[in-house]
Amino acid sequence: MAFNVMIVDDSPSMRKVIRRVLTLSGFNVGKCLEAGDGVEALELLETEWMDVIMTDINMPRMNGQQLLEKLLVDPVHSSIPVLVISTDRSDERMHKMLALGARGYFTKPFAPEGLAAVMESIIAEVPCAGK
Amino acid sequence: MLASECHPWLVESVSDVVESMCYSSADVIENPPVSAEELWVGRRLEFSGPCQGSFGLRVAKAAARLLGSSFLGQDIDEVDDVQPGEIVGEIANMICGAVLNRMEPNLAFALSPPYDDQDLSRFAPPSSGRMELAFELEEGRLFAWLEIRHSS
Repeated sequence: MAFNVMIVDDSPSMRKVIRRVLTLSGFNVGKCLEAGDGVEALELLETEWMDVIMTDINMPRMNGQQLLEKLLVDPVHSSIPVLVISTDRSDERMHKMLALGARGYFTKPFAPEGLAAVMESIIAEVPCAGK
Repeated sequence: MLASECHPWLVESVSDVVESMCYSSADVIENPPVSAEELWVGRRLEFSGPCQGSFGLRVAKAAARLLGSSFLGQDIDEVDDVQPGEIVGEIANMICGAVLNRMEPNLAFALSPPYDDQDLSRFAPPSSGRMELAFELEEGRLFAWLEIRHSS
């Protein structure tokens, strides 16, 4: 079963790398959409259903934390799991994002190994994912 | 915290990032010669939190293209003119984050987006508030510098 993934990062190169690492990880990716920040992500979600959102934190207009907060109160999209991918490795930031509802926290730099397992564990928690 | 105290963390962080994202290696070199004609790609970012400061990278332009090719997983011919700068910025972001996390593992810092650093003439001597290291990569040379300014 393939899963639709959205990658949210203000760097086009970083989005490309994440997409490549995700593919190399073996995770079964269906549709893969990209957004440059939280505003763009929400606009895409108006017409596209995603099974997982992977988001950076530091982005213009709407950062990853703000996006997470918006999704949590959205009756339609609050069930979409969010995986944060960030250069910030501090416990403080990780705990904050998880407390806000992120289902996982991955730090840059990262390798394909482990990412598939994280993605699959996140997806497994969502009853309607991939349908 | 003095910038000079961050020496081992900077070495480890550059090595980790270059290896994991660009599949390359980075060895510290002393007193590297710098040609006035050599072209460089420079990116800088600011950080704040438990302490404030700046971090920057300078990469020889040809090396930046090669790093970009590895980073993106595409042929060197497919690397456009914008991507090397973007990738040096991303690498700077990762290295800075890794150094700061080694400095303060439990506390969060705020990092600015990386921006173009044209002050490429700055090869300043080390001081307590600033440190710069030179690395030899398989692709070419990379300079990483760190300034720490303590909160008043």
